[in-house]
Amino acid sequence: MSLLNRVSNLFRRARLAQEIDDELQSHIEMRMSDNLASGMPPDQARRDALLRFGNPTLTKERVAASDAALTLESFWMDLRYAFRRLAKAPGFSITAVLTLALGIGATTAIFSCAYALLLRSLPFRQADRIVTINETHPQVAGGGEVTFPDYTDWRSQQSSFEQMAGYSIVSPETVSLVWDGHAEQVHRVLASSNFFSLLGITPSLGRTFVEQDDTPRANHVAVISAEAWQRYFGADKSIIGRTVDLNDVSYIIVGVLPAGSAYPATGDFWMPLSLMDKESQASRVWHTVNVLGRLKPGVDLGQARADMATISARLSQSYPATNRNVGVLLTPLREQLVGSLRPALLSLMGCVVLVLLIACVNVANLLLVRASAHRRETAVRQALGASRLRLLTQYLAETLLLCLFGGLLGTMFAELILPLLRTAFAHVTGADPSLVQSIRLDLPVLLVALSVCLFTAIFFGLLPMFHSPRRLSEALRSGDRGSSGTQSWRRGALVSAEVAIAIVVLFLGSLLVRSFQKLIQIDPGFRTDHLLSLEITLPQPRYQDQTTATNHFYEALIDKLQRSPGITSVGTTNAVPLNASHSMTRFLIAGAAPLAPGAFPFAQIRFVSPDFFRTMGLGLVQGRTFEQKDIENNASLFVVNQAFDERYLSGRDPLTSSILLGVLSPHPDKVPVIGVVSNARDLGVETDAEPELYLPGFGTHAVILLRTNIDPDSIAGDVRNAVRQLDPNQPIYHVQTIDEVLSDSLARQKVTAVLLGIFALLALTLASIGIYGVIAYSVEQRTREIGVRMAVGANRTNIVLLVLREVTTLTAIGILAGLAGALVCAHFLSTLLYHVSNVDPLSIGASVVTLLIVGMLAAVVPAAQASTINPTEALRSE
Amino acid sequence: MAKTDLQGTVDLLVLKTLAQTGELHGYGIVLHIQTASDELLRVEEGSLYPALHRMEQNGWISASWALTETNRRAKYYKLTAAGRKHLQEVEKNFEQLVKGVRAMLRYA
Repeated sequence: MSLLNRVSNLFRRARLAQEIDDELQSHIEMRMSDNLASGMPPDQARRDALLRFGNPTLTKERVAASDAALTLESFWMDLRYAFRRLAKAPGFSITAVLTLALGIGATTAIFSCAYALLLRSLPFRQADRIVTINETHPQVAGGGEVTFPDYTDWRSQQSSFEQMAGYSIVSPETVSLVWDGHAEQVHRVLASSNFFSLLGITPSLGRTFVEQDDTPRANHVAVISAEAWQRYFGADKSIIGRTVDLNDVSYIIVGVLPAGSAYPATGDFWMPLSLMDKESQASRVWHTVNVLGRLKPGVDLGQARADMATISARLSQSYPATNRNVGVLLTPLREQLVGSLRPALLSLMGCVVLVLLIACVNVANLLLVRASAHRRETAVRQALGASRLRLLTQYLAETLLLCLFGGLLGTMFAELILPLLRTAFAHVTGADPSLVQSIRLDLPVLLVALSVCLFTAIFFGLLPMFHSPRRLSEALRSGDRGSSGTQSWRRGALVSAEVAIAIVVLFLGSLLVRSFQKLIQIDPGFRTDHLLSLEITLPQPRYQDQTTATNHFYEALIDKLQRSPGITSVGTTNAVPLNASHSMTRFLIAGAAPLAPGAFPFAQIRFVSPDFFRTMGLGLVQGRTFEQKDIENNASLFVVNQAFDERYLSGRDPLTSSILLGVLSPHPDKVPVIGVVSNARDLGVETDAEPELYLPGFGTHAVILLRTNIDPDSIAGDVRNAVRQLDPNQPIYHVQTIDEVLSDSLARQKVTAVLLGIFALLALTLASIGIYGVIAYSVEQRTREIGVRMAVGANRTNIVLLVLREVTTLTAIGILAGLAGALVCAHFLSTLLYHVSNVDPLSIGASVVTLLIVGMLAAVVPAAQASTINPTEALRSE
Repeated sequence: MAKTDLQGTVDLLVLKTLAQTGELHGYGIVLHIQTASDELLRVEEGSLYPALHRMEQNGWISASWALTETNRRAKYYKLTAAGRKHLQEVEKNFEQLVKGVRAMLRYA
């Protein structure tokens, strides 16, 4: 009933307002005529009626307030009024809106990234129950793949997981798909039959694997990703049941996955895990399987870790030669997908919120200045009967408008920079590509942005309201004799707060920039420029590792390439430089004391062509490198790097030493060392060079490195042609310059440093605008005081110093307060820093000095203005 | 605990006036309260109209325009069924308040 009333009032608001007028008027007239009847003179009768009634405008407003329609109307009026007032002060409005847009835009953009990577639900059923399980070894960095027998033992012995599934993306990682006369290199994944049901993926077409697919006599069936279905088969629905050739073997396509659900995200084709070569399936030496587990309800990660540790310890005892010191690493799926980005994103989020805070403080400051300028106007309006509530809603309307405009502009700004962020994050190694592509402005992100706007509007909009004068007479009486003490104190506090926040951002930014600087100054031990890398995988079984056919193919290719213009040298290896590699082997130095089973050391191992060393630019330290005849003879010879020589051959002559390979087999091979080469940080510039063994030879999979004397990107076409001439169906892939690989390997550090650097600049700019605003206003307010000072003998220098002293005090207080916070925040940054201490004195010093200088600079103009005040005029004014 | 405050008191006085007189305009309500309370109570004229409009929105009273005996247009208010029910409630609350206050005074 009452709601109906209110709503129906919406449609007759004009009449309603008129009615209220009429009603009150009739009341006053009735009182007047009664007064007249009781004998009052007309003047007094009217006066008495009005006096008794009180302030008619106020009463009318209060009556109107109880009608919904009129309340809405009055708020709409407030908004229009606020808009007109803002339009009249374009300098103030534009500064405030731009400041807010920068703050809100940056926050929205970073939050979109954080939301997509850390918060939005993954495309799998109850993804927070899924963990990845890896094997660890003290000599192998991070967690690695699991051996097939270990995986099957885990599956049969574990009790913490509802399901455990395995998949493999190694040996080979890619296969060639021949379809429609085209050869394409596609990523294949071998997966156990329960892999898709564990992830909770239902196919959009056909089926996924059933148990019979994944038996020792595995079916040659394949499931494809939605993306591969689009790209290679034109989204043809009749693809189910068709046969395709992968590496010359036929598979029947049985299912297509829904879009965006591929796991791992790079996968194109999934085949049964039991198709893995029998040797790998039987051996506890080859680490080939990635394991996923879905935790049972009620089992937490800690319990699962304990369960797996027990199983692993049991395996270590049963198979000491292979499993001694092998541990288990359980990681929640989300963490696995985000990799090292989590701490980086969290620090970015923290800093961008600080920048937003500075922006807000700036706007609060502007509002405060404005409120003081309008103090008398406000007081007059109060005297005329405006209630505090009405003044408040008008204030709110104004800040709301500012914040909404700022928010709108900021969101557009975020939308503009999101593609840049997506590209930047896509280069970060270890970040899941489909998660990165899902960075966008969607409803949850926009809601957060909107609530940030509203919160800012209400909180910072109300701030000036708290000190609107309570005692009218006081406000009306005081002239422009300067702002009251508490007010300038409040503004001073805001400036100090701004400086304090700015120094936190500045310090964190300079730490990360310095850390990044150190990273790019590292000498990787080889020339990364003018070096192109590409990969090739020859189809098995036509080609096998180190057979004549394989050797011939590569020799012919190298010969062709070496003769093409622009290429100075061609080498092959089996791991792309500057990428983490688990291409490792156990070994033993011949003649060294025998070791307990399982205690064998590990080293990186590479199969390389004779020209590899020259192409990379590794220097020969001792002995010789490989020659053509070593390949032809299939010779077993080692070249080792200096790190290997120092760690394992110290005190021996390397050139007379031999190394035992295949140490777990009954008859290890004894391989002589023929040379020592210089170290290269080929596992990533952050990682010190590890002991490395080089053998001569070609595998079916090879990384071809080309040293050029022209732009390396320009020869990619020549290489493709050369391969096509040898075999028209042989694709090449992962064509990239090593400089690109290098910059990708530092992409996370680069993005973080660049963004934090930008935030620091933003913080600095906003803080300086804030300082300028406050000081300029304070100078203006103190015109009279300065006039007096000059009249009693202060000279221009004194006045400039007076202003500068004020700035320096405020800045210094802010710096002191902020430094403490900065040091605390830097503590959380430690994991992101490379060879820079989180209390780095240089960064502290630079931040402090920068802020002091910026503070001074911001005060220069107001100080100059103050010094040109003419005392006579200043004293006469008012 | 009786829920009564100053606003509640104005509501009570207005509703009671309308219950006693049937139909009355704002000015008449002011006069009635003054005379019926032997000049003890005076409703502030400025506060009366917001209260009337609020009570009308709540559906306790209804209003219509009519001519006074002196041929002046005025807005007349009268109780609705809901208003009558509300009045009983407010009266009960008020009596409880009075009882409570008396008890306190005696105790002191």
